[in-house]
Parts: sequence; C-alpha cells; structure tokens
Amino acid sequence: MNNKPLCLVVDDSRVIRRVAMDIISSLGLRTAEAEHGLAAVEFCGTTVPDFVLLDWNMPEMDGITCLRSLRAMDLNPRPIVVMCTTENGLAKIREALEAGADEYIMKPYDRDVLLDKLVQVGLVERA
Amino acid sequence: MDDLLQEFLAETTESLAVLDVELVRFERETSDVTILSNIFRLMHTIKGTCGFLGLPRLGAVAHAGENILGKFRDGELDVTPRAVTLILKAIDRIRTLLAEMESTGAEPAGSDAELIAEIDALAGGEAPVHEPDAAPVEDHAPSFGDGGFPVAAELLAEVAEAIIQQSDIPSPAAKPEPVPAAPAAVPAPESASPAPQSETKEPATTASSIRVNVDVIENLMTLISELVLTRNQLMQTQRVQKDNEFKVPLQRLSHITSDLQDGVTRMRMQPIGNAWNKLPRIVRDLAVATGKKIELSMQGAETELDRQVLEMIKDPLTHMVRNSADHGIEDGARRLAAGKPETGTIALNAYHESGHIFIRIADDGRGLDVERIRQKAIANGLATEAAIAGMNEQQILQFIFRPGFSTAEKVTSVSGRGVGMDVVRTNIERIGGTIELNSVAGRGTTFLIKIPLTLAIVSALIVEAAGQRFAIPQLNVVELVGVSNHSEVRIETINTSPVLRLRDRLLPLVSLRGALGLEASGTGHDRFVVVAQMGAHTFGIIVDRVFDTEEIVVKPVAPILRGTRFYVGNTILGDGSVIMILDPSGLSGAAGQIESADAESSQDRRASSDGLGGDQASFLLFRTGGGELKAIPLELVSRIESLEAATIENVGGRHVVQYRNHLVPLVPFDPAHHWKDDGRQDTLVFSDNGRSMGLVVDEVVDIVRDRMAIELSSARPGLLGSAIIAGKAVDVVDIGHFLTQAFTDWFEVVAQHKSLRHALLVDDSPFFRNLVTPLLASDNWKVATATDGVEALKLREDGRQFDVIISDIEMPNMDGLALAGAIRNDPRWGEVPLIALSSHAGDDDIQAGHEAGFDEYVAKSDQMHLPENLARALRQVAARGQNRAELRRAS
Amino acid sequence: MSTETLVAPASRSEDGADAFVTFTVADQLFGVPVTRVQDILIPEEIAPVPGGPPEVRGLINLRGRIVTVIDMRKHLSLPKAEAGSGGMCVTVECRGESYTLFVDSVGDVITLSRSLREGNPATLDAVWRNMADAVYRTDRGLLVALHIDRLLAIGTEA
Repeated sequence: MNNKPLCLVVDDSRVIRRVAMDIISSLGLRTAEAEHGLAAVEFCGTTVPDFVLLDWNMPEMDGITCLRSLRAMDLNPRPIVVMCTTENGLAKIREALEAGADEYIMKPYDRDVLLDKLVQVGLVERA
Repeated sequence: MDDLLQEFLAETTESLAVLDVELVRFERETSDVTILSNIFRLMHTIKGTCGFLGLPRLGAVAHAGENILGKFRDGELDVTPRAVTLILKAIDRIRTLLAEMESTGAEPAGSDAELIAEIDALAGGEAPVHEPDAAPVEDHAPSFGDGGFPVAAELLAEVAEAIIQQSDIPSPAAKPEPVPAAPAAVPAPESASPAPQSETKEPATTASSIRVNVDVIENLMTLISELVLTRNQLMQTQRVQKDNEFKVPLQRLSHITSDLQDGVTRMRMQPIGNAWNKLPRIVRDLAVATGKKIELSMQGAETELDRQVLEMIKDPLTHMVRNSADHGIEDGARRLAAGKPETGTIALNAYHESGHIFIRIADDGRGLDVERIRQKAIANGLATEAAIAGMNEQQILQFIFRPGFSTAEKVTSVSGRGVGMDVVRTNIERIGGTIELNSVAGRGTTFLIKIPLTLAIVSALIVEAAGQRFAIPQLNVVELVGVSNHSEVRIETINTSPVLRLRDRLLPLVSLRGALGLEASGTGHDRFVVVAQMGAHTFGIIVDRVFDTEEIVVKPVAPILRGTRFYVGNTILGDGSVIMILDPSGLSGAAGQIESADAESSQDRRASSDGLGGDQASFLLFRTGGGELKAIPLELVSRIESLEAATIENVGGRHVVQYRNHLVPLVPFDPAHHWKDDGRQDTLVFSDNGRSMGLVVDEVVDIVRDRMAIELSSARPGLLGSAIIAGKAVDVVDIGHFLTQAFTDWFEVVAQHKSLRHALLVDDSPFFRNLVTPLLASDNWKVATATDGVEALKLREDGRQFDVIISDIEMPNMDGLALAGAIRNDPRWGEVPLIALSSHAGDDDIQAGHEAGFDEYVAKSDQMHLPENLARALRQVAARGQNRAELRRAS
Repeated sequence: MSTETLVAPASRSEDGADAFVTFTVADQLFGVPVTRVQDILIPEEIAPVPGGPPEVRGLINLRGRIVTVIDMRKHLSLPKAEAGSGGMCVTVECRGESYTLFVDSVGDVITLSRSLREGNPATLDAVWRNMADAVYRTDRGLLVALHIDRLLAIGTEA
C-alpha cells in the first residue's frame, strides 16, 4: 500500500530524532524511531526498514552492538545502515564498516549532508 | 517542529538531573565503569544535540565537561573531588544557560572561556592531543562558529518564532524542574519504551509516555473535582426519589466518574525521588566544603505523592538535609573521638501509612544542643526563664520552629544562617502536614514529616455531633461501634475519662462534643464510637450519629483557621453544605487527656499528641499501697473490674474470683493488702495467652495520654521506675512481675518444668523496651536489652547466649537488617531464632526481614495485639527449633 | 444562596478620591475599598467551625467555593446582635483567599475626597485602631475605613 522507503532513526536524544525525522520526511520518505539499540532490534523483528540511521553512544544497547545484531538477524531485504557518530577516529569508522555498516555520517549533520548520504545509498534521487 | 527547543530544554534538564546524581555516585565508586559510561554518554548527548541546534555556548561547555570525562574513562586523569567539582560546575553553567534560553528562546550571549580554561587546564593543557582512539572528541569536533549549520539555524529561528507565538502558554520548565517524567534518582530513563511504529508523519506517537503541561492536568483535576461534586448531588437526589429510569445510567456515570478520578489522581502522582534527586549533590558539595565524610542514604524514593504536595515539600526537605550535613554531622575527628564511625549518615526514608506520607530525615550527628536552644529562647524573648524551667527537653527543642530562631554557631558559606525551620514548618503545615523533632545529644536528630497523600479527593465518613455534621477521613477509620446503655458494649468512665471495652481491650475515647466545645454531651441516648487509628495509636471518637461515607474534595482551611488543630480541611457536600473534615491526630490529643485545657500552645500540643515513632501511649493511673500514683500502659490492661468483695474466694491463702467459668487469680499490688469482706474491690485484669489474672489495687484514678520516659529505674520489685506522666510523678508498674507471681505461684508445677529462658531485646525506643520486657518476663523469659545492633553484637563478644533475639528494624548505628545479617554470618549466634519487631510491616518490609535472616516478623503498629502476636511468634520459633532439634537427632 | 452582585469593580474614581462600599455594624458606619470587594450577599446557611477563632462565624458555600465568614461584631468587640436580626455579607479578597464580612447591613458605594480623610483619632479603641486605615467625615457621620489586610490578620499574629 505504501511503497515509500521506511527509515528508522535510532538515537537516545528525542531532539536529534526529531531533527533527523523531519529532514527525512521532508524528502518524501516514511520514518520511525527508536531510542536505543535494543528498541531498534525489537522494531526490526517485526518491521524491516529500508534504511537505518544509527547513533553510536546510547543506553541499553549501543550502536555498534545494534548493528552487529541487525546483521546477524539476516533481515530481508537487507536494510541499509548508516552509522552516525561524532567518534570519527579511523578505527571507529573501520569498526563500523567491518560490522556491516554501509556508510557513516558525522554529527552534527544538516539537511544537505543527510541528503548526500541518502543519494549515495540510492534511496533518494537528487532533484 | 515548533516545540523542538522546548523539547531540547526538557530533555537536557532531565539529563542534568541524572548527571548530578550519577556523578556523586561515581565519586564514591570511581571504579564503576557502568556509571562512568552512563555519565559520559549523557554529557556526550547534550553536546551532540547542541551541535544540531547550533548552540555554540552550551556545546562548548558540554564539550569541555565531556573531555574530562573521557580522560577519566581512559584512565588518563584521576578522579579527584576537584575534577568532579569542575564537572559539576560545568553542569551548573549549562543549567544557567538553559534557564536563560527558557525565558528568551535563544542562547544568551556571553563567554564561558574562564570555566572552560579551568577545565582544560585540569585536563592537561590545551585540547586533547591526536591519538587514533583516545579521547572521543578530537579536534575534528564540530566548530561551534556562527552560522555553521544552516538547517539548525533555520530550525532555531522557526522555534524561536513558535515560542513567541505560544508565549501565553506557561512553560513547565519555569519551575525548578520541568515535568520530570522519569525519576532521575532511578536512572533508567524510559528504557521500557515499546517498539516504534512506522508512520509517515506524527513521529512522536511512538513513545509510551507523553509530556503534558502541568496546567492541563491541574485543570483536569479541577474539572474532575467539580464532576465528582455534581455526581454526588445527582446521587443525593436519586436516593430521595428511589427507583426511576435514571437509576442505572446514574450508577454507570458514578462508576465512570470514580474511575476517571482515580486515573487523574494517579496521573498527578510522582515519586518522592523527584524531590530528592538534588540532595546527593548538595550533600556532596557540603561534605567537600566542610571536609566531612557524609553518607546520604535514601529509602522509599519510589513512594508516590501528589505533585502539588511534592512541590511544596521540596524546599523544606532540601533545607533540612542541608542543615543536617552542615550543622548536624560532626567532622571526622570529632566523630572518631566520640566513638562513632568517621562517616556520618543522613538517612531519608519515605513511606505510606494510614493515608499519609511519612518522611523521616535522620542524622547520626551531634544532636541539637538543648542548652543553647534554652539560652537562645530566653535571649530572643521567646520564653521566660521561669517558663522554660518547667519545660522538658522535647518542649525546649520545639523552639527551633519559632520564627527568628537560629542555632547556627557560625554562618557558613554553604547553609547560610540557621534560618528557616519556622519557614519549613509553615510550608509543611500549609499543606496540612505536621513536623516533629526528636534529638538525642551525641546520637543525632530525627525529623518526622507527616503529609497528606493527596490534596485532592478522599473517601470520608460523615458523622454528627450536637446537630452539626463532620467528615472523618475513611483511611483513619478502623470500625464503627454502636453503643447504648442497654447494649453489651457501653461507654464507661474512669474518673472523667471515657473508655470503651472492646474485645478485651480498653479503648480510650474522646467525645467529639467535648473536644470541640459543643454543648455538653447528653447521656442515656444511643451513640456511636468511631474507632480511629493514627499510627500506633487507636482510640475512639464518640459521635451522636453516623451517616454514609462520601467522596469529598479536601480543600485546605483558610489561613485564619490553621491554628485550629481539629481539622485537616473542609469541603462542600453533595447537598451543597459546607462541612469540616476532622483531623483524628488533633482529636487523639484530647483522648484521655487529663488537663487538655491548659495553656500550652496548639503547636506544643500537636507535637506531644502524635509522638515520634509512636512513643506516646495511653496510661492507666491508679493508687495503691501508698506512695506515688502508679501507671501502666493502657494497652496492656484487658478490663477494669469492680469486684464485689463477697465474690472473692480464698483458696488456701490464695485469692481467686470466678469469671466466665474460669478461676482468675488475684494478686494484690501491696503484699500487705487488707482484703475487705464487703463493698467493692477495684481490680485490673490482664490477659495473656488465654490466661487472666487480676491486679488488686486501691483505686483507679484516670487515663492519660503522654510520652513515656522512665527517668529513674526502681530497685523495688514490681516497679520499672518513675516517670513524669501528664505532669505527675508516677511509678511505672512492671506487670510482668505480677503475672509471674500469679502464674508461677499458681501453676507451680508448670513453672518448675519451664527453665528460665534468655531473650535479647534490641530496640532504640525505651518505650518499646519497657513495653516488651514485662511481656516477655511474664512468659518466663529473662530479658537482656540493647539499644541498637552495635550494642547487641557487643553482647555476643562478651560471650552471652540467648534462646531468642527480638530486634527492632529501624535503629541508629546498626539497624535490624544489618544486625540479622551479622548474626546469621557468625556461628556463635547463627542458629538463634530471630524475631523482627518493626513499625513497618508492609509486604516488602517483611520480605526484606526474612531475607536478612529473621524467622518471624511482628508489627509494632498493632500495639493492641502486640502481646498475642509476639507470643505467637515465640511459639512459632520454638516449634521450629524443636523440629530442627528433632531433625538433628534423627540424622 | 441568594446573591446580589451590586458592585462592579471600579478603581479610584478620580484623583484624590476613594470609592468605598459602606456598611453598618451596631450603627457605626464602615467602609472598605471598592476595589477589594468581590461580592455582596445575604447568607443563608453558615456552617460553624467549632474550636475556631471566635471571630470566625463559620463557612459558606459561595458558588462552589468555601468562604470564611468573619463576624464583624465579634471582631470589633461590639455587643451581640439581637436574636433573629439578619445580616449581610461583604466578600473581600485577602492574600489570595476570600473572606466575607458579616455585617448588620450594607449601604451604598460612596466616593470620598481625600480631603475628608483624617488619621485615626487618638481616642480610638486599640482594637479598632489596628483595623482602621483612616476616618472620613461624611454627611452621615464618621466613616471608619477598614484596612482589610490588618483586619484579616487573625491567627497569623505571633
């Protein structure tokens, strides 16, 4: 019924979730949110999103553990995961990519940066 | 989008509250990685969010704080009080900035360079160096320059606009804390949120909780109150009209209204932890500033109370804890010299009881200096020297609640001048609460605050006296007893004090007409006794008539009436009439009071009417054997009999009387008692385990209610010591002595079989020690006592052995749970049966008691049945002991 | 409860003059500033407060609010009214609470020039002196202007 891609925003800050979701829905995508890794894993257990914007530092379950869990779940279709972090040391980025992230994005990002990433992963066509 | 900034302010304020608490915890447990990473994450999130919203000032401060936390985490920096203080300073700064943003809608201009420089200096020079995996935020950290984030700047502008548009809506964050949804003291913020749902718009619908402006709830509450009143009016009409077609829908309406009311009331409840979450930080800062070691323990943080009440008590609580930390707790050296642990303790405890919330604030510091208070009271003209000379310590202590009183030796930077206990009391009384004080020199100070559960709606019993109706909160009502001169239950008078004999106990009574000064109570007609319970104290209120129970909206009385101690509030009934709501604790002061009309101020009387820890009790006064008046706790007496001398039989030199087909042994108080041949003989009947004995006395004089403090112990058998009760010197009778006399004499055979067993009674309350000791003694126990766990364990070191240990739970120095642990973990007393004797007997308390190692749990609150309950517990542990012994023999 | 609202809140009518709601208690004329008066009513059912201060005659239900009734005769140490004589109530606001003053009868609203204002006469009874703000000469005799906050400080004094 609704074939627009679904984006799951995972962040422990309500404020950041809102900022991200507002940007994403302004690009014509559907959004959902989770406040930590565990909630995200639970969510994906019932609904498979097309895209996951995943924060690193969170309570309950951090982003990297969440990413590993999502990949271990072998979801179909495989969601695109973008790790989103201020921890931009090379080691961190490598760790994320090795764990199965498709892309990473640095915080704070704005509409243009996020749009770039969404275009890169092929969810949005640049206008 | 419009309330994004609001959301940010709320979220960040919550995080800061958690940070405060967690940092203080962390300072004590620096090795706890979980706490540290939680702290780091919170600070990190604040910083990250600031980046999104383009808030450079806030972001920079958070960044500096995060930097130090990162160094803690990576072990590059030691956790010192100085470092923690700096982080706390950063938190405070963020809070200040938030407050400004709250009012202006924009980040204030200004610089935090000084604070950041100070923090960076501690962190080891400039910004952290390049290291692949070192500090989480490096020089790639967002530059907080202006205009760096176009989207964020746009957002912010939009938000600012929205705030201006909405400025007529009062923002919740104008209060000290904006509607904390999760108790900050319990840092598990909204972890239980459900799986998110997918929706195109409306992203906020995924959370299981939503934030609602406090005013909305307040309005709803007012509307519900009105709805309840309207419902009551309808019900009233319905009752008159009997059956009609409205009956069924009206009943439905009634149920829905009740449910609605419950729901909204629950919506307003918040855990008291919300009022406590600033305290660890305050105590910590005070401890650092004064160089003391202070431990703050908080129990019952989850206890819920009405948010309006919570707001009202927040400041008084903070003030008292501050006082305890600053003035109460001594410095380490002085504590060690006094034989106390170096670390002082401030214990907060909150719990529900009989429709009220009790909050206890206890420190184990030096206690209040009675002598200084005395001098100060005289110096400040609060009382004359002569007046004070006639006061006991408790009364003198009450002066600290008088306006303008201060005992602070010096003005300290942290708690300021000792102002404010008068303000504290005023605040608490404003919401219908009371505050009491107990202080023991060298042992510490305890405040007990009692406040109503909610200011909203309660169920109340409507009664009538002298043609006027009153409401009594249902929570205080235990039962109703109809009395008339013809019924089996009737009101008797001892001197002028009315009592009711109810199921083998004497219940002190207060006549509502008498207490309120209404026209003298008529005699001869049918009346009712409302049996009311206030904490440990049960008493009866005599009323003329009893009507229905009604749901009432408790409205506080006008300030003009607050000096009147009889009322907790007033309300409008369904029929539109105004009615006063009685305060049973105010009335209980009048129960069995011998001189209630004296000139004590109402506060003094209030303080003495509802004793701290329930140490107050009703006493029966009687005369016998010459000398002083004799006193015995009324709760121990089953009946007072005026026996016909002719019915007393003399069997082999022992006196007995037939009572309900049993022979009851009579023991004269005075061994030289002259047995009369005719006339009447006053006798106090004591029952224990189905056995009864009569104590023969000359004359029963009165029943009074007072705090018992035995001042001189007596060497004379049959007397515990002397005390001042209701202003009279009395001898307190050791009923155990006479029970033993009656039964060991009478049932010699039994007595010979029973070897004397040894019990240890541990309780810090002299009242309970004095109450329980004779009970045990009467059952052939030899009793040793200790005032706390530490003292009890000393007896173990001395090699003493006991057959049972009975211990209070709440005690200074070492409480009952800790004592039980210590006993169970050492073979010397490891097998001794343990009985807990506590004023808290909720399921959780009992559970905790059993987990700590207690075999049985007896509630102190039910003083009336204490003897039976204790006896049952003793039988049970004895039975179990026997089983254990048999098992051992069998194996 | 019959209620007649006579007074629309009016502030000072003109410079140098004050508007008062007047009433009599034991034939003495009193006034309270019109700005402080919320309501004037004839009370029907007053619920007494046993054990309360003697000045408190009781409580009334004023449109769902509980209002404390102050017996002005008692408060001003004037003799009791004859049995059966009615009374009226002037409801005023004080520190966020409503009180209603039970008086013999309520008169007009009058505006009095400041020039008619005099300090309290030295001979004024001490109780009255505390409650009176000033005294005005009027064509109906002396009017005692009451100071509402001091008047209602019952029970709050030390």
